[in-house]
Amino acid sequence: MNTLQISQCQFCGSVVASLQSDCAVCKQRNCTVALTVNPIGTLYTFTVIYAAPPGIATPYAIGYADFSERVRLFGKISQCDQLRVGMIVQLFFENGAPILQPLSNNGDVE
Amino acid sequence: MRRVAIAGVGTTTFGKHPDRSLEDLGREAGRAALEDARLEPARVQAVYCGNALGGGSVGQRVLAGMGMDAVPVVNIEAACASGSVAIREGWLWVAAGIYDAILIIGAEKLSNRFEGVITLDREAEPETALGLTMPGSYALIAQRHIAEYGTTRQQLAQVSVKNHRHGCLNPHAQYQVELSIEQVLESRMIADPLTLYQCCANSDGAAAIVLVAEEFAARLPHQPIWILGTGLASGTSMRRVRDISFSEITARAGRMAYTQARISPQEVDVAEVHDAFTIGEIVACEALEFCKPGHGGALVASGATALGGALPVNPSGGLLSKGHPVGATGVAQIVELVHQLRGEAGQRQVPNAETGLAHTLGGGIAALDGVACAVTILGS
Repeated sequence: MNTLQISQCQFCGSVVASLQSDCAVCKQRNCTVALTVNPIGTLYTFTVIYAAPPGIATPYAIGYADFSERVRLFGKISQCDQLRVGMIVQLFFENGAPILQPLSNNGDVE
Repeated sequence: MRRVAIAGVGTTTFGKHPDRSLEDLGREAGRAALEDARLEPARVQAVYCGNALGGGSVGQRVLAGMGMDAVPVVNIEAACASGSVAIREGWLWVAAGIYDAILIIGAEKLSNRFEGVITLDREAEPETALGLTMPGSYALIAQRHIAEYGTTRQQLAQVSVKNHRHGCLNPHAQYQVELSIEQVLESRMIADPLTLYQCCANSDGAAAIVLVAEEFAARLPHQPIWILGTGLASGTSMRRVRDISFSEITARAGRMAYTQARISPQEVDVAEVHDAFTIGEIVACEALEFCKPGHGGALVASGATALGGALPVNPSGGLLSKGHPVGATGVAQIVELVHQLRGEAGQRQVPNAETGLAHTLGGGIAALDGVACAVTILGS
């Protein structure tokens, strides 16, 4: 099965794409646990942003998705159309940034 | 602990005040509150000042132009709840017997600070780097609420329609204009499902109140309005699996205030809640137990929270219509409730209002569901 190695900080909950012992967000040391997650998750919620700070192209979509091991991740969503809470998304990382890609031909899980 | 009364209230008009300084706005509200309480500035023993984005020492900057430059000042920042936290901190010192008369000022000038949407101004946060905005964080809650409970876009819009109708009756409100559900829904999309008229505007303004100890309440020019209870909570992590359609931070602050005031949610006659975005009022009404979780959309659609309903919410017009000068907002909510409980709210008066509740939720850190939530309960 397709799996993804990530690290989650035990202090702030942040998830990073690689196995590392220090948290890149809150800067605590030796605070992460390594997790192997199935990168197929469900979209918990989302929004499409039409008004952004100057210099950022709109629209774009962002959201939270839930994965195995009770991991919730915030990421950019790869498309703005036909988004639904509960739809199945695949997680991948692009330059370290989490991207949620809706999968076609998949029914809702909730 | 002594009982603490609100002896005087004052506010500026909220809106865009390009020609006026933050200090000038603060002084207008402070003077109005002192005059309303018939209190000489020399009798004020301490000042608590709420401000979020004014750059520091705002209390001293305001007072220097009021001939009150020697008075002890505490400046308080808690994002949108700055004014509410200032009230709570000041209340404590009067209740504890340290001061007999204090002034609380909330002041903000935003119109010259932001162009467009307020971003979450914390560069280190990965969510901000990925494009999360302030309206976006509320839109995420709204989408989940819609999916979980069947809340409709019309119900969201009805919050804005109601509060703008209320704001038409408030001469201090920024926007005194009625909106239809269609106008709200057809306004420019900001963060789906939140359209422009479902988002509060950046405003300038100030509000102030005078607090006095119980012993002095009999000598006041107005009927004293009592602070019956206060609650304060900080936020918890958004980076874990949780139900974001429920405002847990609001529930914690609300429970604290209800317990201290020894009242139940059913005893509240009028409320001012944090409607920076329409979904905010819906989830606040649920977490404050005005209705069951998930029923906030139906509550506003029923008319129960409109003037004339069983529990009017945001008779002032709320942040959506009255405006949201961040540090002033929490103090202005209390100003409105005092007018309501004194029975002097004119056309927007809630008949026989005896118990009022104010709820302010400060946000702006992506990792948390809120910076600070303050709930204050007043009684006549």
